[in-house]
Amino acid sequence: MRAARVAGTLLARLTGVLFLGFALFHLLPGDPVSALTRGRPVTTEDLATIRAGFGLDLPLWKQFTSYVTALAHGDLGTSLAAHRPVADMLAERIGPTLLLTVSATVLSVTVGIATGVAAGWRPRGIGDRVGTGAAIVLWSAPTFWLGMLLMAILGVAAGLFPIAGMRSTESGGGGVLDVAHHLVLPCITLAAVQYAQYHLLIRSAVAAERHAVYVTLARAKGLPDALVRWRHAVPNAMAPTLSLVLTNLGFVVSGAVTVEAVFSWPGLGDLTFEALRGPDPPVLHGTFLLLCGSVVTADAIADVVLRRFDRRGGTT
Amino acid sequence: MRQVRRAICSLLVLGLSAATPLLAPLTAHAETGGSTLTVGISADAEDLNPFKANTVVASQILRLTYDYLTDYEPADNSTLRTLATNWTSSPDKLTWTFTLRHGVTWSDGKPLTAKDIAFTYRALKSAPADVTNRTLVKTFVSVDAPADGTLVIRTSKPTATMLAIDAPILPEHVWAGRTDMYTAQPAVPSVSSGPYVLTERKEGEFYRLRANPHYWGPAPKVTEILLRRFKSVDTAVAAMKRGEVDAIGNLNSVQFDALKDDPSIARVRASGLRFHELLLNPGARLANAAPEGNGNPALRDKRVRVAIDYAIDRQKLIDGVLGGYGEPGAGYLPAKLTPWSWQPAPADLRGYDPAKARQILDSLGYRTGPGNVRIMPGSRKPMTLRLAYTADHPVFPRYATYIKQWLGDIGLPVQLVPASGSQLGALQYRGEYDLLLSGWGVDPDPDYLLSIQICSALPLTKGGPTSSDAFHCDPRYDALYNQQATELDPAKRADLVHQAISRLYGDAIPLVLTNPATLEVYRKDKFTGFVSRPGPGGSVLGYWSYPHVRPVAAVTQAESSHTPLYASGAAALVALAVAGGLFYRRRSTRHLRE
Repeated sequence: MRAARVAGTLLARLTGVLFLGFALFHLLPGDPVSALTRGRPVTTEDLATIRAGFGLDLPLWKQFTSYVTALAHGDLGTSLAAHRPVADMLAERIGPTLLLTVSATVLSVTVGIATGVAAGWRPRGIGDRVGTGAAIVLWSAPTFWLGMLLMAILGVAAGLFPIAGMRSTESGGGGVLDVAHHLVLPCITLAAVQYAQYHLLIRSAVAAERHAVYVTLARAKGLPDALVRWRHAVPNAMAPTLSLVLTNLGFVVSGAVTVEAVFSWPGLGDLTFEALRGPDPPVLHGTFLLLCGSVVTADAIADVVLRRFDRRGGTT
Repeated sequence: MRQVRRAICSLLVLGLSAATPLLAPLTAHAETGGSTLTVGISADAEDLNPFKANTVVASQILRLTYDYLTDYEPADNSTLRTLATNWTSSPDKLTWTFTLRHGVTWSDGKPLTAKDIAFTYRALKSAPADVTNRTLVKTFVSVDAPADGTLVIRTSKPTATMLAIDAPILPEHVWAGRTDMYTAQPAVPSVSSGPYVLTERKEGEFYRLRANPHYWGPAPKVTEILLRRFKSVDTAVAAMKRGEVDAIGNLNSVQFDALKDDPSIARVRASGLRFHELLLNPGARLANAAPEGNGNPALRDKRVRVAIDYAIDRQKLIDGVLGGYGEPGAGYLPAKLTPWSWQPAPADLRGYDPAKARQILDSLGYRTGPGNVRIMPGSRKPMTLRLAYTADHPVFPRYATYIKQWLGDIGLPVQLVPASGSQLGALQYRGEYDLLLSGWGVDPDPDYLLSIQICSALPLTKGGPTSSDAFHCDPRYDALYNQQATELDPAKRADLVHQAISRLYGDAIPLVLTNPATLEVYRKDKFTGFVSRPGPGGSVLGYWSYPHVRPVAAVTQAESSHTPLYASGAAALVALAVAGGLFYRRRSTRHLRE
């Protein structure tokens, strides 16, 4: 019953995304045909014919009907600029984006929890002041600025890491370690900006748990401090952090637009940006559906998982 | 448990041992030396279908991989004999006979003949409307290949652009009979006849071109060209400092100046084959003369437009916005575009003269009201002009700020209307602006840029698309345009073009503000032999140049040889951290094991 309700909510939200995306990108001012043919030897009559060929002269409701019908058949349309299926273009770009955002999320969660637990266990200590201060500074830093800074220091001055692209361009480039090497700077940049939210959340939770009775009891049993912290306090402090991690999972697809731009990472952010410049409505629809769909779906998954994980309201 | 951790540590060590050789691609560039020319590009090719491709990058790739019937001489934009080595036109100027180069083959070894060219032009002629290149052959009546080395084209009217058919010649044996001819992407590696062959394509990353061993011309000195995508020029510049990129175009003045002290980098300030213009809405209208848009009626008066032109200090725009890298604009086409360019004589030039601008407006009855704001004759409402520009381009917002100040000084307050590129396009073709900032790059042949100023470019329906630049419509200009389009004598055609541009200057609808220089850099310690177009002082980064580029002998590659060491060092640090973590964890839980 619960699963059906969650599925129903998810379906309703996805339908809303479908309507909203179509309306949004068709209300954008600008004529894609004029933009695509600028600088080309084309007559005014040709422009009208091309518009008709793309179906842009049809009433909006007819365009929407065609779009939904095609979508029901798994057809996301064809890019007006690249003249390629949108689904193919999305498939090319989603891999690099997921690689970057998932690795950055893992890193930021790991670092955020580690530093947050340390800070929360001894609040107002030097470690807390330094760690929390650094987290807030990085959280406040503009992503592009931080990326450029890391690029200048670790990439250009020290020459430690590649500064652009996902692989070496020489023949033979693109091996696992080659890609990992290219991933370092964009991943660190993204993780540095994101980890503060996990740090702050778990810090507060751990600081609240450290005076709990069961913690005092564990200490009284003579357990070492690290064991009390990680085996007893942290599991009980994890619920809000887990909730945040699951909620943020939906944004992993869309969360790296700026970092992709700074490090020329060939992901969905770049595709979206170029499609907006056109504008290229079929590509914009596709990316919008994918980005919003992933957020809505992750939200539904989080809803289910958290209820299973958090037994406080259950019958146990 | 202990065995598991030992296994993890062993795997880490093994991984690190394996890491160094796997990082080898990072240094491959150094090992291959100058044989790969890596050029930074800021956009994708998007569509490489040879009939449809229309982006700058796609055009470069097609020019490097395919032959065209003729090309442009880099020195002076005159006709370069490529596939066609000779040509004659009939006395009635309607039949052209081309003699083709012998011994040209495709990259798969098959001969390129007149049949391939005939196939290409026929396919273009019957292409759908979205194949914009089809207008290049719009006057063709027939294309025949009576012999392998002879091509005969019959046209419906004399056509001046017969030696500027900018469409790549395709292999009939590859493209004929395909139902997806107008949408298919070329195979990789491509079958083509130009100096290079497209061998790898990664959208958003790079395009790899290898020298074509079957090329009929001199073998390119650089065996591989890599067009590498960067989403920002700043990143490309940083990559150049690391030795990852050899050439970058379209820098801004700040990026260009920042490289002036680097002895390994050559900086090229190419005379502009671009122009930035201020469009004044002359009273937008449809092709049937029905009014369109909502332009300020004051701008329908040519004298008001001329007054605005006098209020603009072009040198200030160059110094303040372009960092000094540009030339003041006047005539519609840049001075560098010989023989087509026309520039006004000094006596006719509308230079910066705000006093004259005020005088003109005063004489027309534009009295000054409160706040030094002029009021249009017959109206009580103070004047305001809307200036639309794209905020996507860093130059235009700064132009707009200056123009607002100057027009305000002569009593014409300006309301700034920033827009995205696509928004601006919509405002432009609907005529919903008073002033609008725009810009163009210039092809060697002027036909297209002249065509966007003719009356038949006006929109057919309200809100409909238009190829008109600024709703200019002058029957005498149209007559000159049509004459030049059918004039085969280059000198006579140039004269007609000059007359047309002269009229356009007089109408003061597009006001050419500047001819910005194209700023390019390349690694002179690695490559030499770049060819500039047009002539000395022109651009050196383009398809006309790359086949002539050659590596500088004995380039020292030591600079990038440290990269794998650094990488291995970083990997070792990570491994040590992980191993340390495991050790610490073992210690912290020792009491449990004990």
